[in-house]
Amino acid sequence: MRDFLLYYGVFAVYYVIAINSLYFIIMLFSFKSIMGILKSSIYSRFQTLSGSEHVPPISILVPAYNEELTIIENVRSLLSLNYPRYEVLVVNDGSKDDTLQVMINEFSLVYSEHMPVQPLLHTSKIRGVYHNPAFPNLYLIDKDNGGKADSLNAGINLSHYPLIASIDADSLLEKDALIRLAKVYMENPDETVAIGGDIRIANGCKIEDGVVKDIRLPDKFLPMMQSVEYLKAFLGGRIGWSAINGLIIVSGAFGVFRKDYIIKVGGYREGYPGEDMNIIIKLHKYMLENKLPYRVAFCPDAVCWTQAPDTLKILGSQRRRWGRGNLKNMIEYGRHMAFRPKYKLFGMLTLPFNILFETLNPYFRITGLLALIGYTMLDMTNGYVLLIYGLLNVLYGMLLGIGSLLLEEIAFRRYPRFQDIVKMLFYTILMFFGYRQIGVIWRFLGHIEFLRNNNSWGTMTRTSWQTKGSENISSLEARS
Amino acid sequence: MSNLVPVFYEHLSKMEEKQLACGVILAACKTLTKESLELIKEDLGTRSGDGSEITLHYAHDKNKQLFGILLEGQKLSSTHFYALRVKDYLQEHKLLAGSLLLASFPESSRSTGQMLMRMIQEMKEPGAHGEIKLYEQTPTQKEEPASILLVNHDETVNEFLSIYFQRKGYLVTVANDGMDGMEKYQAVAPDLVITDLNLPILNGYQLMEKIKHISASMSKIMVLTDKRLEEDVQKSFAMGASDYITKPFSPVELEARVKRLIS
Amino acid sequence: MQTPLATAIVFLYALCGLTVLGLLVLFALKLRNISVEKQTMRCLEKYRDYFVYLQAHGEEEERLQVPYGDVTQKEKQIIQKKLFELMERVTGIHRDKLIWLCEDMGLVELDMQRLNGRWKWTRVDAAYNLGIMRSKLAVPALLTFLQKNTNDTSVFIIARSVAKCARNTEDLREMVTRVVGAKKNVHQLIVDIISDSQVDTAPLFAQFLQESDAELVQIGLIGYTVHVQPGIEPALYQLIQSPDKEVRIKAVKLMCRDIRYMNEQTVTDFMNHKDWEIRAMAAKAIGSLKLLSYIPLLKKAVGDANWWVRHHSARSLAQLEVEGFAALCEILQEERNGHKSEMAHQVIQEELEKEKLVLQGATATEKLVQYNEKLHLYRKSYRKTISTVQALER
Repeated sequence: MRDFLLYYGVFAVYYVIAINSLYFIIMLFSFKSIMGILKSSIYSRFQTLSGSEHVPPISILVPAYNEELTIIENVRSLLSLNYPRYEVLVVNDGSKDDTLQVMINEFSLVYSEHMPVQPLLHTSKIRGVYHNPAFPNLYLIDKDNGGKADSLNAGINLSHYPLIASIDADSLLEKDALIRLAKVYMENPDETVAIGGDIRIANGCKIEDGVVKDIRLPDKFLPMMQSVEYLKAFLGGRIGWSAINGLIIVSGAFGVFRKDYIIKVGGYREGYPGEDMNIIIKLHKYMLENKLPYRVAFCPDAVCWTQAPDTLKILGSQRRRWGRGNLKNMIEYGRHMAFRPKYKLFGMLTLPFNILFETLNPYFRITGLLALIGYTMLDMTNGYVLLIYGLLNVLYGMLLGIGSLLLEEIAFRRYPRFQDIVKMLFYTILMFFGYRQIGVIWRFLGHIEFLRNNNSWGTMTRTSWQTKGSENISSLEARS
Repeated sequence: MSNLVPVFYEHLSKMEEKQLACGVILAACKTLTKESLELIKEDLGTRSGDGSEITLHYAHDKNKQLFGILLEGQKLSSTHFYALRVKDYLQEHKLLAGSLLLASFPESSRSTGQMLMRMIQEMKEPGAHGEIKLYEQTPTQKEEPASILLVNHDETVNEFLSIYFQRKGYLVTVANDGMDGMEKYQAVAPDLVITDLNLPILNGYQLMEKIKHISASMSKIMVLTDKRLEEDVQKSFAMGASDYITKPFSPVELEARVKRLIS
Repeated sequence: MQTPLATAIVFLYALCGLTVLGLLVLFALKLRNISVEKQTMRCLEKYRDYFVYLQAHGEEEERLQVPYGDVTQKEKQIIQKKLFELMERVTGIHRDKLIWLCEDMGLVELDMQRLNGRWKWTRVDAAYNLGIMRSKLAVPALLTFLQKNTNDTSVFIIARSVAKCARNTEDLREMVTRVVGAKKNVHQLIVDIISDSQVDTAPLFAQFLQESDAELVQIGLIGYTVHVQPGIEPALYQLIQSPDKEVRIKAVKLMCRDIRYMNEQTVTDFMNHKDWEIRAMAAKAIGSLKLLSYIPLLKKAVGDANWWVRHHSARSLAQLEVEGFAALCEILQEERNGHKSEMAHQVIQEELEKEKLVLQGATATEKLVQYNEKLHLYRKSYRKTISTVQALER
């Protein structure tokens, strides 16, 4: 028994080393490409580009469910982006509050039952489309409740442009975020099928009239934790993954996609969380199976600000949902694509990595920790094993945290003050005392929910849609 | 009357005879002793910015605490450049007490004396410390100058155009975003609004719409923007804009069109 | 018990080392960045009056003078940035004078040296700077740099600099062929880059239309959509036969903008073309150019297999006065079900809704007559949906 516990503990130790080393390697790729990203962004005149007729037009899809409080400000902010030609399609997903009426009143929209809609993707019943010639690039689609994916599909059916952007109704785009993504697209329009933007936490920032005026770190504990977490995931993780074209997710909160390919893969999957990861997996699958050259890009200088959940309850439900979505995606696609040479780097590295280190993470970590605690209980003199396990976790985590802060400092510098860096470092360490553990448990709970509700997932989304503020980002995969 | 006037008037008349332009810099300064005046002359030197020798005349008015320099044969831009040095010097030696005013006297002017007097008059109103003002003798001075409201999110453009239009004798108000533009519009009721279309809070179209709503006798509106799409041009005209200029712009052309619009 | 964990312990030490190193670099970088920022602020403050001077005398004959006194290299770079901000926003004499000032300050010379620097990013930086200073002398060096540096996106930075500095169309052509050789299908971006040039680009685009390389032809076609020029008809007629689909589409797009190209033969050809994109564009063009004589053709196309063709055909019919609208209504009578009548019905309703909205705003009798006429036509053709008509009349 003792030996078993020890060996299992040792295994857990090496598991931790392996997982973090992989994250570290990915981060090295981030460092490798950061200069290119930085330079091509500072040498571009986005102001001039935002008036150019050579920029591809984009349809912005804004799924909204019970957003009556924030929708007006957000739509107003979206209508004044610096971008030459675009349209905003708000999809009211059968809200129970006054989202629809608020929009109609604010923009004097007029009901039009017969707006020609292309029946490209199947969706819930469309009740009508609203429009006002005074705001020619704003459309409001009213439809029966069907979930976020369903709303996106409905938006695609009405959209008029070849590129679509999905944006959460409660997040805020910087004015030149879209043109930055478009530039990345224009530099390789043939192969780019999706581009993700950077998501940052807006809690603590001063926001006025739909503009982030003063960038500050959050004051509260949970948002601050997430701030650090996001920085790690996006800068340390996604830049690196996109450098080797192994990105498994583009956040639902802010991403741009080629419409033709979205339609070719059958649109967004309905009725289950994790639709943003799902669509990227399907894109990878489609492109690889048809042997088409492609890339899923990430553009860290296009920033979308979002409100992070600040209570344990909402955060917990968000994380459980991610756990559920991730498991679903891995069971549905991961199993069939992992370790198949046909799927190249995506199948050989990204997916196994995801299954081993994301999906199965809670099991290894929890059991490893329990084994070591048990072992130590049996023989207190061997406590150092536990210490090694703990130190490894904290130190490696800290190293990765420092790495992402370095990336931020090299390229973006959104937080100018010295104390900001100290604060972020402090929270990077603090993360390992409680926050990470509870995150692992949430993910585990998510898996349990998944197994219990597997046959009734159609109704799941509806309930999850309702938790305000938890829909911000559907997933934070490749978290380091 | 300041004792600067007769001193400089004499030099100016000579210049006029020789058909030469002449620059004058006036600075509000603390009381200078004879020695320090000598020191200033020595330290400032007699080289202009491009290294050529220039003839300078100094004068000091103790009562009014004015220090004046006359630069023979120098036009406004080189006088301005020289003023930078004068200001730095006075500031370094803690002699500066207020603002600086500079002017260029053209080759042939009949009202040299008057102009000098007016300059000294203007120096009486205390400007911000260290500010360098340009004295403009535009013919329209007696009339009410036309006012322009500049709505642009780009600080560089705002700074440039306000300096540029002020030199041309316009009254310029600057706003940074659509909402700000709206408020300033109501406050100053300008003759002309020059607005961008890409603006935070309220964009250019929304601003034009609001302007149309408030005032019956609408100000002229000119669009100055990065947007080069045909549909933006059409929409702007449809919403009441009188002219549409894209960035990057030629200031000379911009001013010509402004003049045409509000003359 | 020791051995299995020995490696882990070695790892721990390595981690400690790396962490400390990382921390040091991070703090050093942060402090450096803060000090650079302060320095910049101080420098901008120091030269504030000078910047006012630069902006106040932009159109006089005399050259602008370089700042007096000792200007350090760092200060020069900060001043350069500020100058660049201005130079990117103005044209004409103001920009020329700033360019001369940059030359007088030795900035052009400095960047010409940096273009041969050891670090790639120094070279890219220099190339960018030379572009903004529109240094004609730098073109050959920039083109060489462009040739050598084609594997990442910095190629576009350099290409833009070449466009800004270009002395003639030959330089631009050279640049375009090099970029096209390295990157595929970036036509829109290239045309955008070319538009930064001061050279007259129309002859360049005309040249491209004659090329055999489809990439260049497409660039030419896109260029022409912006700077419409007469005298390219023969080339266009040839290009619509091109084996490259993108070329065909772009050529047709160009022709559809101009009523002079749209003779009967061409329109019929387009409307029966095998590419649906071309059919759709032609259908759209008939409406926007108000070519009433092609109503029968459009009417047929409302039953096309492609949604976009149906959509644009029906929309165009709605744009073509009462006659076009009548044709839409006829479709309803002729076919009760299917794609064709569905599309026609949608567009009819949309059109009626739109006109009603216009009527609420104005009281032009002419409009009212037209609206009533259309409503009448619709009722006659489709009595079943009388409920919607009533709804509209409310």
